Amino acid sequence: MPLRRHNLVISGAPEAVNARALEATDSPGDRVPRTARALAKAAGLSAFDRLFASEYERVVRIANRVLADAAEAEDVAQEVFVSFSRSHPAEASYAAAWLHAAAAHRALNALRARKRRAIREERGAAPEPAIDPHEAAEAGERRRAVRQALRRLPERSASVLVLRYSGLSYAEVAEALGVGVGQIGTLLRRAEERLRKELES
Amino acid sequence: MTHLADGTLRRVIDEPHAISETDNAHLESCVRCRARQASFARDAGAVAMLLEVPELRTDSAVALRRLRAPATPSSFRLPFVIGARRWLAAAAAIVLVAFTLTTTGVADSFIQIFEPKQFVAIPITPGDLNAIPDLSAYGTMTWSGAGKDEWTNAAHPFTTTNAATARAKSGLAVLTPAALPANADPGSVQFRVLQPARMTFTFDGSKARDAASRASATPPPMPSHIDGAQLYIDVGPVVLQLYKVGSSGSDMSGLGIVEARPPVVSSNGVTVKELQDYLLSQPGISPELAARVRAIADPQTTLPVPVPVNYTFTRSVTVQGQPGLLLGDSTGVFSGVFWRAGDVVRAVAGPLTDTTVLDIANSLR
Repeated sequence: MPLRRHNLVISGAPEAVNARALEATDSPGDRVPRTARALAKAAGLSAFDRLFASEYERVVRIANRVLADAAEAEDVAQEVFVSFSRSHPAEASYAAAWLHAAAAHRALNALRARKRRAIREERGAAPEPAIDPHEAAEAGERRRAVRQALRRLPERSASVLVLRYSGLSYAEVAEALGVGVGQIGTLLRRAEERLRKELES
Repeated sequence: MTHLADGTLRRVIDEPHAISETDNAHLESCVRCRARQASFARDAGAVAMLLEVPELRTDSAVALRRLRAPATPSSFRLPFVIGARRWLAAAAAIVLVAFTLTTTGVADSFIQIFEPKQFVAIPITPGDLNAIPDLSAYGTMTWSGAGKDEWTNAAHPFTTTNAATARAKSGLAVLTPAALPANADPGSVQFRVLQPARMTFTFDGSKARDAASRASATPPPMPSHIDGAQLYIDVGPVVLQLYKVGSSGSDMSGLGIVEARPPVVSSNGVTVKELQDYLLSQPGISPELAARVRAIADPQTTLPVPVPVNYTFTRSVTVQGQPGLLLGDSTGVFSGVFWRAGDVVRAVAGPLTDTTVLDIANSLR
């Protein structure tokens, strides 16, 4: 039989989560999950259920930012939560950061690994809201090019882009990547430049 | 004059209040920094457009139900968690098929045909998993013996937190680990004891036809030698030692240590060659799977462990001086090891790395 093994190595995994970045923020991206967490707690749900209620949407959004495919993003989110629950307590202070990092990492892996994505995108698995077929074709072309560029970027650059553009605050991105919050501006700026260059090339 | 760093200028676009008063004063007065900031903002706007994706709607309650739902073909990727029930059913079917390969000719008297002394991985594909017929519907299954209610789920297993009680109840040595990983809670230990029981399976030609027609398949007719023949599977006692790992409270988060008398299979006169041919010719048993089962070198003492191909790694290991089989899921976060030690079979499995699982297995005293 084929012997295969793929160990999950998440860049910015909990061990590397930077304690300095644990300061809470009140960014707009934070409010919805906190409300969901409060509702879940009020409903008497378990710690894992509360974590799931508060973070599921953001985890899917991060994966969708990479994959541009809602169904595939939800599959990735399911894997991320199962993986987390096997090895970490739901009450862990790093839980959200771990989930965010894992969502970006797994989605990027899925993007790199799945050759069939190109075929899917060709078939229009991610429908365009544009009515004009010319506009839709252009948007589809742009999305394909961006996915290809994301595949080629270094993992940290791609992660900082998808985490930030999924609505995470600078502090949350820093916590997920295990770096100081002061570094995020620099990492983000470099990643934006790299993405632009990749697309120009 | 020292100009502001790129990172500071970039952050101030998104989080204007994150800048110090000094840096803000500089930005207000520095044309060059403001120009750089405007350029960064244009790039950020362009990247935002590039990374736009279609609007997304999620329902976390539905998603949580899906996470906990039994396996469907599309969720095969998590065989040890979501697909556990289907995986076990497939495992049982494959083991039953393998049992029938263990003797030749007509067994006219009551004979022991199988007792596992070693383990071998049998790769199964998602197609195999979904197509393997439910062989339990090909006859009648009855249970007898002290533990029959525990094995049929009619009663909960005897549970204790005391190893000595588990030893007395089961008659097994009930070894415990000398060391546990840091995230396992020694205080959470629970011993579940399953008493010995015998499962008798009587093949029934009419039931096999009914089962196949429900699955829209046409099986070969059950030979008269097989119709009415019986297999006896003696199981137990088994002691399952459970520790909580982490604190999510989910049943997928525990470390399990199993100690059991090996199951012994006997028959009362099945025409084994015909039974073998019959089972391997069932719709749903792929030629590849049949070939893998037939390839087992010593089927009388080898327990085939079905593992989902491409989703699981396996390798042969030595545990406490005995040959064992190590397996894990392809995410590298769940591992288990099986081995035979004297008159018992042992297994250690949990949401742990292969190294940790092996360390625990080797520390059993």
